Amino acid sequence: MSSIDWIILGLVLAFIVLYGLAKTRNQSGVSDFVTGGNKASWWTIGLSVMATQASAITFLSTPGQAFHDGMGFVQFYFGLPIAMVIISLFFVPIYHRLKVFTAYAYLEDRFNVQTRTLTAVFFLIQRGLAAGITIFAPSIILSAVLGWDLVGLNILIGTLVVVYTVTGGTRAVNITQKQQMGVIFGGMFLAFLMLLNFLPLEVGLDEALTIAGAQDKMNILDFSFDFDNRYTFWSGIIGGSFLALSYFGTDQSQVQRYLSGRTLRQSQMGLIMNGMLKVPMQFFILLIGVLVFVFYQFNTAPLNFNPTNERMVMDSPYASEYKVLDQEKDLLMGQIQTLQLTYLDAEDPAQKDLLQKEISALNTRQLSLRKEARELILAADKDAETNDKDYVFIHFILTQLPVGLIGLLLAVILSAAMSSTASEINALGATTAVDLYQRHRPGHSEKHYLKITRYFTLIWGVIAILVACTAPLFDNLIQLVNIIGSIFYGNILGVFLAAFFIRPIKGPSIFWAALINQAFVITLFVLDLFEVIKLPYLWLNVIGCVAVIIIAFVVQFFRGANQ
Amino acid sequence: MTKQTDPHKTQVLENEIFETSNSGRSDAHQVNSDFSEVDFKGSKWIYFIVIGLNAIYILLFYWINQLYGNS
Repeated sequence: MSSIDWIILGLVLAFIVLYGLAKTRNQSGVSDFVTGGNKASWWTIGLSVMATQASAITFLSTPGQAFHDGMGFVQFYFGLPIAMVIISLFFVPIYHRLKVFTAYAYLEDRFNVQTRTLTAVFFLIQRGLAAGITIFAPSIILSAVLGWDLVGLNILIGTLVVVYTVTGGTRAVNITQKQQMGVIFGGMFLAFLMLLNFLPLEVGLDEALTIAGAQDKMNILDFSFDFDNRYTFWSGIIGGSFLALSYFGTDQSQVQRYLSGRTLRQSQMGLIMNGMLKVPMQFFILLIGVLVFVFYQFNTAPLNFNPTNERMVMDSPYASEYKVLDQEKDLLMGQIQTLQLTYLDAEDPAQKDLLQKEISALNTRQLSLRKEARELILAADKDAETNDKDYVFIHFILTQLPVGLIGLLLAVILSAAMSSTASEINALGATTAVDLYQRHRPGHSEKHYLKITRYFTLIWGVIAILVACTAPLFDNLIQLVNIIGSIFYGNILGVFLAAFFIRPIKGPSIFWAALINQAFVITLFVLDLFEVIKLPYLWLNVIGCVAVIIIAFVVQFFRGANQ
Repeated sequence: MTKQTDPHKTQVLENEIFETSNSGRSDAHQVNSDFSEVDFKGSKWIYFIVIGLNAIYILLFYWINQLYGNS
């Protein structure tokens, strides 16, 4: 990386952190710290909500997802706008009316303190783990491709976030997220333009999409009811709605964003802004991944995008075998490039069809070479992570983009990591302080509670860094975060839906139902993990939500019978 | 400290919601009217726009799928 890239990266990050610190030094109390003094406008809330959800994983993993599996992942977000409308109509007015600092405080009003504490603890478990992964995901990838120290990078990202989150609370998170989203949108748009510019002169956007479509990358919608397929229209609309309803309606890292709104209307409009922009934003990020795929139809790609794997296998006894595969791959890519140009020039449909089949056959052969390469990597090191989805986009950035833009794109990734982590530890600190400490140790001064909230925020920042330093690499990082969410979200959402809409359910019943149901959902996940049943993780949201309500009715029935 | 509210008012609000959901009156107008006192007037159109806009996105994706897709 050149010194210009270092300067750009350093300046962007330093400006965001210092600006956030300078603007939010004085906090008068817990209210000011947790809800930012209720001064945020709708577009600040909208950007903050989007920045919280869009972590570095989104910008590293999503293009890689499109590179390998095409555009179908966009369906995952189809339920989000529905959830935004439901939350704006039903959840936000109640939170604003009650002037709660956390979503879980409402549950004490409706049920009892046990239910409030239990849901707060569920939130702390899953969000505490997720916060660590939010830091770990970009760190592991950047350390592999840039040779930076993994632990050092975890500590750097975590510390930068902790500094302004502990000092400025929610207002600092909101203010820095606006700058971070500006960097993210600008950087991704420039990457898109550069990608188009790097394609051969004959290949415009239309031709690029034709090439991608011929290789099954443009199959956006899948209306089948296939449970083997993780991303379909139905899983997106139904499972995605439940996940989004749960995440945005009951996860404090999001609730805290819109509770900072100046008025109810500002909070609602912030969520609606997210509902309008989220699907096209994800489509755009996936489109970048598809364009990276098209780019590598005309340029040489490595056998494995993770450079650590390539270095390791080249230092092993399997180096000569790997080199043979690499040479065959280069030969194939040359043939693919020639055929792609011929395909674009061809006008006869029969000839196009024939060429497409030839290109597909070569791409299939290329895939099998990559599989053989992965086997060699595993032979050289049985613990190596051979899945390189998360390395595709960063490889393109570092090897193809000009000096200056590399620094900006790295700033995009680190900004995204910081924006999500900031919201998470801000919410973790607030929930621990308000729902656990303050609720069970009343009677202290405002100054004391503010100090305690800051301490808890600091502690959660340290925990997140520790989780990041010890987290193992999973199959796909973006999925790991969603899986952890799905295990807990359905249950928490069911409790909230019962609170909002099902009057007969009482506190003790929902409390026991939530405990039983959590064990049930974890059992389902484990059964799926060991392939005893087939259940894509998105459906855990639906099952967890419905089951807790049913179990609550059953518990209530037996309690009533006993009484 | 955790909230600044009158418990009685909380109960009243919950009763309003329960009545709406349990009486089977699920039309948007009725639901909105129960929340009208909390700064909700004049903003119903935005909810139709956000759903309509996303329906247009999906139609657009369907069109792109038909144009470039291979399924």
